[in-house]
Amino acid sequence: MVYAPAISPNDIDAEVFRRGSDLLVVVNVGYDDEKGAIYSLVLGLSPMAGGGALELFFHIVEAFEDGRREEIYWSGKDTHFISKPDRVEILMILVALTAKLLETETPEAVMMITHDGDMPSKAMKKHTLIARVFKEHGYQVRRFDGYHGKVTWKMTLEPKPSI
Amino acid sequence: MKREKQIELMDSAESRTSEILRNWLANPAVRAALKKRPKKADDQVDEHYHVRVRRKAAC
Repeated sequence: MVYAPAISPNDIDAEVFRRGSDLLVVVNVGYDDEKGAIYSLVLGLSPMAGGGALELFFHIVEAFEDGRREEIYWSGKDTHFISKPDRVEILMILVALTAKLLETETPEAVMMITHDGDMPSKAMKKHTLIARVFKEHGYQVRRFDGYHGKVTWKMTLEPKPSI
Repeated sequence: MKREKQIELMDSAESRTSEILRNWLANPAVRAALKKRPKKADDQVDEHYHVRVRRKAAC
Protein backbone atom coordinates (compact mmCIF):
# COMPACT_ATOMS: atom_id res chain seq x y z
CA MET A 1 0.00 0.00 0.00
CA VAL A 2 1.41 3.36 -1.02
CA TYR A 3 -0.58 6.22 0.38
CA ALA A 4 0.07 9.52 -1.35
CA PRO A 5 -1.12 12.71 0.32
CA ALA A 6 -3.13 15.26 -1.59
CA ILE A 7 -3.58 17.90 1.01
CA SER A 8 -3.44 21.63 0.79
CA PRO A 9 -4.20 22.94 4.30
CA ASN A 10 -4.67 26.47 3.00
CA ASP A 11 -7.26 25.50 0.43
CA ILE A 12 -9.62 22.80 1.66
CA ASP A 13 -11.94 21.47 -1.01
CA ALA A 14 -14.92 20.15 0.96
CA GLU A 15 -18.23 18.79 -0.29
CA VAL A 16 -21.16 19.21 2.07
CA PHE A 17 -24.28 17.03 2.02
CA ARG A 18 -27.39 17.69 4.05
CA ARG A 19 -30.43 15.48 4.65
CA GLY A 20 -32.84 16.87 7.23
CA SER A 21 -30.75 17.48 10.35
CA ASP A 22 -28.01 15.13 9.12
CA LEU A 23 -24.90 16.66 7.67
CA LEU A 24 -21.86 15.10 6.05
CA VAL A 25 -18.67 16.84 4.91
CA VAL A 26 -16.25 15.03 2.60
CA VAL A 27 -12.66 16.10 1.95
CA ASN A 28 -10.43 13.97 -0.29
CA VAL A 29 -7.05 13.74 1.41
CA GLY A 30 -5.06 11.08 -0.45
CA TYR A 31 -4.97 8.16 -2.83
CA ASP A 32 -3.21 4.89 -3.51
CA ASP A 33 -2.62 4.19 -7.20
CA GLU A 34 -1.65 0.56 -6.59
CA LYS A 35 -4.92 -0.19 -4.85
CA GLY A 36 -6.99 2.20 -6.94
CA ALA A 37 -8.30 3.80 -3.77
CA ILE A 38 -9.14 7.34 -2.74
CA TYR A 39 -8.97 8.37 0.92
CA SER A 40 -11.31 10.94 2.38
CA LEU A 41 -11.87 12.54 5.71
CA VAL A 42 -15.57 12.55 6.53
CA LEU A 43 -17.06 14.64 9.28
CA GLY A 44 -20.70 14.16 10.19
CA LEU A 45 -23.43 15.50 12.43
CA SER A 46 -26.49 13.41 13.12
CA PRO A 47 -29.40 13.72 15.55
CA MET A 48 -29.21 11.35 18.51
CA ALA A 49 -32.18 9.24 19.59
CA GLY A 50 -34.45 11.17 21.90
CA GLY A 51 -33.73 14.45 20.17
CA GLY A 52 -31.76 17.32 21.55
CA ALA A 53 -28.10 16.73 20.85
CA LEU A 54 -26.40 15.99 17.55
CA GLU A 55 -23.64 13.41 17.43
CA LEU A 56 -20.37 14.45 15.84
CA PHE A 57 -18.27 11.78 14.19
CA PHE A 58 -15.25 11.72 11.92
CA HIS A 59 -13.59 8.91 10.02
CA ILE A 60 -11.28 8.11 7.17
CA VAL A 61 -13.07 6.38 4.29
CA GLU A 62 -11.24 4.35 1.65
CA ALA A 63 -13.25 4.28 -1.59
CA PHE A 64 -12.22 2.13 -4.53
CA GLU A 65 -12.36 3.90 -7.87
CA ASP A 66 -13.93 0.88 -9.58
CA GLY A 67 -16.84 1.12 -7.14
CA ARG A 68 -16.09 -2.26 -5.49
CA ARG A 69 -16.60 -1.05 -1.95
CA GLU A 70 -15.91 1.56 0.67
CA GLU A 71 -13.97 0.82 3.82
CA ILE A 72 -14.58 2.88 6.94
CA TYR A 73 -11.62 3.26 9.27
CA TRP A 74 -12.98 3.71 12.76
CA SER A 75 -9.79 3.92 14.67
CA GLY A 76 -6.48 5.74 14.35
CA LYS A 77 -4.94 2.33 15.08
CA ASP A 78 -6.01 1.23 11.59
CA THR A 79 -4.66 4.19 9.66
CA HIS A 80 -0.94 3.75 10.23
CA PHE A 81 -0.45 3.48 6.47
CA ILE A 82 -0.75 7.29 6.56
CA SER A 83 2.52 8.85 7.66
CA LYS A 84 2.70 10.90 10.83
CA PRO A 85 3.16 14.27 9.05
CA ASP A 86 0.17 13.50 6.80
CA ARG A 87 -1.92 12.51 9.82
CA VAL A 88 -1.07 15.87 11.38
CA GLU A 89 -2.23 17.63 8.18
CA ILE A 90 -5.49 15.65 8.24
CA LEU A 91 -5.96 16.62 11.88
CA MET A 92 -5.50 20.29 10.97
CA ILE A 93 -8.17 19.90 8.26
CA LEU A 94 -10.49 18.27 10.81
CA VAL A 95 -10.02 21.19 13.20
CA ALA A 96 -10.58 23.75 10.43
CA LEU A 97 -13.74 21.94 9.25
CA THR A 98 -15.12 21.81 12.77
CA ALA A 99 -14.55 25.54 13.20
CA LYS A 100 -16.24 26.25 9.86
CA LEU A 101 -19.13 23.98 10.79
CA LEU A 102 -19.72 25.87 14.03
CA GLU A 103 -19.67 29.18 12.20
CA THR A 104 -22.37 28.04 9.79
CA GLU A 105 -24.49 25.58 11.80
CA THR A 106 -24.36 26.66 15.49
CA PRO A 107 -26.02 23.50 16.89
CA GLU A 108 -27.25 23.86 20.48
CA ALA A 109 -25.83 20.61 21.80
CA VAL A 110 -23.29 18.19 20.31
CA MET A 111 -21.94 14.91 21.63
CA MET A 112 -18.72 13.20 20.64
CA ILE A 113 -17.85 9.67 21.76
CA THR A 114 -14.57 7.78 21.36
CA HIS A 115 -14.88 4.39 19.70
CA ASP A 116 -11.74 2.96 21.21
CA GLY A 117 -11.45 2.34 24.91
CA ASP A 118 -8.49 3.27 27.12
CA MET A 119 -6.98 5.56 24.52
CA PRO A 120 -3.68 7.17 25.43
CA SER A 121 -3.87 10.97 25.64
CA LYS A 122 -1.82 11.20 22.42
CA ALA A 123 -4.48 9.22 20.53
CA MET A 124 -7.19 11.41 22.00
CA LYS A 125 -5.59 14.57 20.62
CA LYS A 126 -8.19 14.75 17.82
CA HIS A 127 -11.03 14.81 20.31
CA THR A 128 -9.40 17.27 22.69
CA LEU A 129 -8.63 19.66 19.82
CA ILE A 130 -12.21 19.45 18.58
CA ALA A 131 -13.49 20.07 22.11
CA ARG A 132 -11.23 23.12 22.26
CA VAL A 133 -12.69 24.44 18.99
CA PHE A 134 -16.17 24.17 20.52
CA LYS A 135 -14.99 26.03 23.62
CA GLU A 136 -13.54 28.79 21.46
CA HIS A 137 -16.93 29.08 19.75
CA GLY A 138 -18.83 29.72 22.99
CA TYR A 139 -19.72 26.17 24.01
CA GLN A 140 -19.58 24.74 27.48
CA VAL A 141 -17.60 21.50 27.19
CA ARG A 142 -18.12 18.64 29.62
CA ARG A 143 -16.23 15.37 29.56
CA PHE A 144 -17.57 12.07 30.90
CA ASP A 145 -15.02 9.32 31.51
CA GLY A 146 -15.45 5.85 32.49
CA TYR A 147 -17.09 3.07 30.57
CA HIS A 148 -14.42 0.63 29.39
CA GLY A 149 -12.11 3.58 29.02
CA LYS A 150 -14.40 5.27 26.52
CA VAL A 151 -14.93 9.01 26.76
CA THR A 152 -17.89 11.21 25.89
CA TRP A 153 -17.85 14.96 25.43
CA LYS A 154 -20.97 17.05 25.56
CA MET A 155 -20.74 20.52 24.10
CA THR A 156 -23.58 22.92 24.87
CA LEU A 157 -23.93 26.36 23.39
CA GLU A 158 -23.82 28.85 26.23
CA PRO A 159 -26.46 31.55 26.08
CA LYS A 160 -25.05 34.93 25.13
CA PRO A 161 -25.14 37.36 28.06
CA SER A 162 -27.97 39.82 27.73
CA ILE A 163 -26.93 43.47 27.68
CA MET B 1 -26.85 12.66 32.00
CA LYS B 2 -27.82 9.40 33.67
CA ARG B 3 -25.06 6.82 33.96
CA GLU B 4 -27.11 4.07 32.23
CA LYS B 5 -27.91 6.37 29.33
CA GLN B 6 -24.26 7.37 29.06
CA ILE B 7 -23.14 3.72 28.96
CA GLU B 8 -25.77 2.87 26.34
CA LEU B 9 -24.62 5.77 24.14
CA MET B 10 -20.97 4.79 24.41
CA ASP B 11 -21.72 1.15 23.79
CA SER B 12 -23.67 1.79 20.62
CA ALA B 13 -21.44 4.55 19.20
CA GLU B 14 -19.74 2.40 16.58
CA SER B 15 -22.86 0.64 15.32
CA ARG B 16 -24.78 3.92 15.33
CA THR B 17 -22.28 5.92 13.29
CA SER B 18 -21.67 2.89 11.07
CA GLU B 19 -25.34 2.86 10.16
CA ILE B 20 -25.38 6.62 9.59
CA LEU B 21 -22.37 6.40 7.27
CA ARG B 22 -23.72 3.39 5.41
CA ASN B 23 -26.92 5.35 4.80
CA TRP B 24 -24.88 8.21 3.39
CA LEU B 25 -22.90 5.78 1.22
CA ALA B 26 -26.15 4.66 -0.40
CA ASN B 27 -26.36 8.14 -1.90
CA PRO B 28 -24.69 8.21 -5.36
CA ALA B 29 -23.57 11.84 -4.91
CA VAL B 30 -21.74 10.95 -1.69
CA ARG B 31 -20.14 7.90 -3.31
CA ALA B 32 -19.02 10.08 -6.21
CA ALA B 33 -17.52 12.64 -3.80
CA LEU B 34 -15.58 9.88 -2.07
CA LYS B 35 -14.19 8.69 -5.39
CA LYS B 36 -13.10 12.09 -6.59
CA ARG B 37 -9.39 11.86 -7.30
CA PRO B 38 -7.60 14.63 -5.44
CA LYS B 39 -4.69 16.52 -6.92
CA LYS B 40 -1.21 15.45 -5.91
CA ALA B 41 0.13 17.54 -3.07
CA ASP B 42 3.08 18.67 -5.19
CA ASP B 43 0.79 19.55 -8.11
CA GLN B 44 -0.98 22.16 -6.07
CA VAL B 45 -0.27 25.77 -6.77
CA ASP B 46 -1.02 28.97 -4.91
CA GLU B 47 -3.33 30.28 -7.56
CA HIS B 48 -4.97 28.83 -10.64
CA TYR B 49 -7.50 30.52 -12.86
CA HIS B 50 -8.54 30.87 -16.47
CA VAL B 51 -8.46 34.14 -18.36
CA ARG B 52 -10.18 34.73 -21.64
CA VAL B 53 -8.79 37.54 -23.72
CA ARG B 54 -10.45 38.70 -26.88
CA ARG B 55 -8.33 40.36 -29.52
CA LYS B 56 -9.53 43.70 -30.79
CA ALA B 57 -11.00 43.60 -34.24
CA ALA B 58 -8.73 45.04 -36.89
CA CYS B 59 -9.75 48.53 -38.04
